[in-house]
Amino acid sequence: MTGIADIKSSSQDAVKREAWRVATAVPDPEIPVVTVKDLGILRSIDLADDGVVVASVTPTYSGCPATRFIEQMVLEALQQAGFENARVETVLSPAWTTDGISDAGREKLRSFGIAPPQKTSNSKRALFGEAMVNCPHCGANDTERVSEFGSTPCKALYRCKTCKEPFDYFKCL
Amino acid sequence: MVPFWREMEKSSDKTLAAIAAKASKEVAYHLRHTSEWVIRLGDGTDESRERMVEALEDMVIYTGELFEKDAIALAAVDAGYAVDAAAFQDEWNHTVNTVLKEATLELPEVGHMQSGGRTGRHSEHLGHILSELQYMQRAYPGMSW
Repeated sequence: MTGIADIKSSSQDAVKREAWRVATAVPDPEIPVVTVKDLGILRSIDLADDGVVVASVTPTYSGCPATRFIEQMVLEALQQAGFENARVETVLSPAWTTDGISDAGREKLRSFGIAPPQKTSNSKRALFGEAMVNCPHCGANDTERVSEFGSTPCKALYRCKTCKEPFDYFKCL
Repeated sequence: MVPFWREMEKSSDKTLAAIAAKASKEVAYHLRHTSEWVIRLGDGTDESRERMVEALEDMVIYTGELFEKDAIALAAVDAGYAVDAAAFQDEWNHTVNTVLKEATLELPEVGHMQSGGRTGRHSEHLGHILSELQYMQRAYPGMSW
């Protein structure tokens, strides 16, 4: 029994692939150099039983003012690409973590001047809140925390003692 | 309330458990952050210490409500959806006292705790807060931007 079922499933795959391509291109509204996929906010694209595209997103920090905005941006991108009835669903589990930021995303953050979060899993010092943060400008590790909060609550303000530049550090969660 | 969220992760309600797992990580951060400030200000200058003593005297009466429960909370505990916050009072006291000790401060003894928020009985402050929060909507009904 090949035939229609196969074609249907292959076209469904094509739909999913295209929706994934569209959704993954959505930038973070606060740090537009990284996408919602880089940040691990976009979890998956699925097709509901009625064939409608469903994007699953997970909120980052509770109370982040960008959460609703991000959902709206993903929805609008999908609608503009022709997925008129697309839906966005919020997934809470497993909870978002900065460990979910992709390597590409971390590199983009660094070149944007934001020190990416430590990988908590392999840094014991991060566990005790005294992570060694490298300067995103010159790479030196002789840095100090100026304030627990930087340009947004999810970032801390640091200063590099080598190149003297201030910078934001994306905090671990 | 780190222990509260830690235990809520075991809730039989999947959504509540997922929210708790997220909240656990965040409250641990808030506890660290606020502890640092309490220690810095309490064990700081004469001025900062005096203000912290005053702040503790003003605020401690609101901590009792953390461990109160109403009929809804009790029903949620019975159904296995929620945990009884009162069970964490000792752990909370221990955490708070450990930080205060390092900050050279003490939890003031108070005769009574403020109560009523959970049953909708609020103090005068709420009216002022609400009028501030609702100012735009009341001044410009149906506004949008």
